[in-house]
Amino acid sequence: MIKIKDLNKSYGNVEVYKNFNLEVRDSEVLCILGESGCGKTTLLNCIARLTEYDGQITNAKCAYIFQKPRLVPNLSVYENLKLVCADEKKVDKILERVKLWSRAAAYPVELSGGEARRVSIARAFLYSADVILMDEPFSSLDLKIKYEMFALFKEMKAEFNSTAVFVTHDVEEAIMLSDRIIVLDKGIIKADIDVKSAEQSELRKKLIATLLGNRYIS
Amino acid sequence: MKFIKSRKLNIIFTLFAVVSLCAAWIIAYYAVGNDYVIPSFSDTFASLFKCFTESSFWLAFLNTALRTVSAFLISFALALVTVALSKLSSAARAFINPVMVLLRTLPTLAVILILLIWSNAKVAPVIVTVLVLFPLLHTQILTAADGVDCELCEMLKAYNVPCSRRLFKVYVPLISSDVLPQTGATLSLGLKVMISAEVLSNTYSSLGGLMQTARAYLEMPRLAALTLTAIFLGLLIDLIFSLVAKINAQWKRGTND
Repeated sequence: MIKIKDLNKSYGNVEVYKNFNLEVRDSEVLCILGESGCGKTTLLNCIARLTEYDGQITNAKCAYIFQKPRLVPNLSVYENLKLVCADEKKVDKILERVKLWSRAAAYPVELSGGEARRVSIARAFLYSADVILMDEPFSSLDLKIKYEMFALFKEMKAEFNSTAVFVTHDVEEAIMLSDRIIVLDKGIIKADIDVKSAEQSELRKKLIATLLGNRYIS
Repeated sequence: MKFIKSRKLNIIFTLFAVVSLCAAWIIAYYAVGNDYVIPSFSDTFASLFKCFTESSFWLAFLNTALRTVSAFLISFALALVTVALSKLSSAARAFINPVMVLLRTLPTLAVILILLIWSNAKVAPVIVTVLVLFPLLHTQILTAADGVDCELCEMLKAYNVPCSRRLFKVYVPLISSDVLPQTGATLSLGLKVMISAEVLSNTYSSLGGLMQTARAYLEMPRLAALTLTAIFLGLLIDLIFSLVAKINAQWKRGTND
């Protein structure tokens, strides 16, 4: 379980989080939904200890799938994966799993957008982390590739039984991938919804209404 | 097909440039009509081939080349230290910057004269070459280090990649891919400075020293031949490092190239 207790984070005079609390259960896929600038990425960066903060966060081993794949350009696909895991058998296995074995020797400059995204997903699951953090990992992908990535993530998640926290502003993505959704607004949780227990169309309406502050939904 | 055609055209134009320079030399020789001002093309190459048969020439060539390489390696090692300090501490960077500006603006010939008083004719050229190359290499390596994508650095931090793996698998290859293409030109510059310093110092058993002797005896074809040697050596260095840089940066083009 990942526990965030009394998190305080500011950028200069701008307060992002004040006494923020959250728990992420084991094997849960938690989605953080919110408008741009509400602090979603900041929360992930605090969990990953990429930024300083005040408060307590469980010291967890984190894998991170960024918005861009962030592959090391001078290393091949195989070497990029070996950077996070020295076990060659595990690397071989995950390459087979994400169907990139034939591209193992390719450099990132030679990969398509979808292939590069597969490598970043493979890297995250290879790392044997306590939690996988994902910052809008499927944005800027075309529809076909996006749904392929959704399917791949769900398969990998089921196989590795990982805990994941992902950030998005796409309601459909949130509903499709997560077990639980929280809606953030200016560092405050506006809604905390268990996806499985809610009816899909009502859930969609509720999330949109919460995001928009009931301004446009009758 | 288009690519091969343009490559062939480039080779033709390069050859045309070389032929044009030789033609300009021959025309200038006949126009001036004075062997002590411009030596003849044939006499110069005859003198060059004669140099190749002399053991003293090869010893001088080797000494100059080794001194140049030594100066380069010393400069490179110093630059690595100053770059590391600059990256680790902004205070160190602020301290080092004006020192580099000072070194860059030092008048080289005046420094040689001072160094000849402090040291000797063998050491002074090396020191002055270091003083020229060191700030240049510092700037090249620091610029390349600053250019490493900070998003990559963040990814490496997120995945707790060990420092040694970050340094040797990521930072060194990325920085070297930017520095290597410039290394040939830097080394060529070092060669030029070294030879200039050797001429001024009249260093024994060096290309510069041989040039100074040829000048003293007004052996113009020999002087031109020694100059050509220096040019060919500089071109060779440039070519070697261009090839090395091209191989090193294969990842930028992909394996299909």
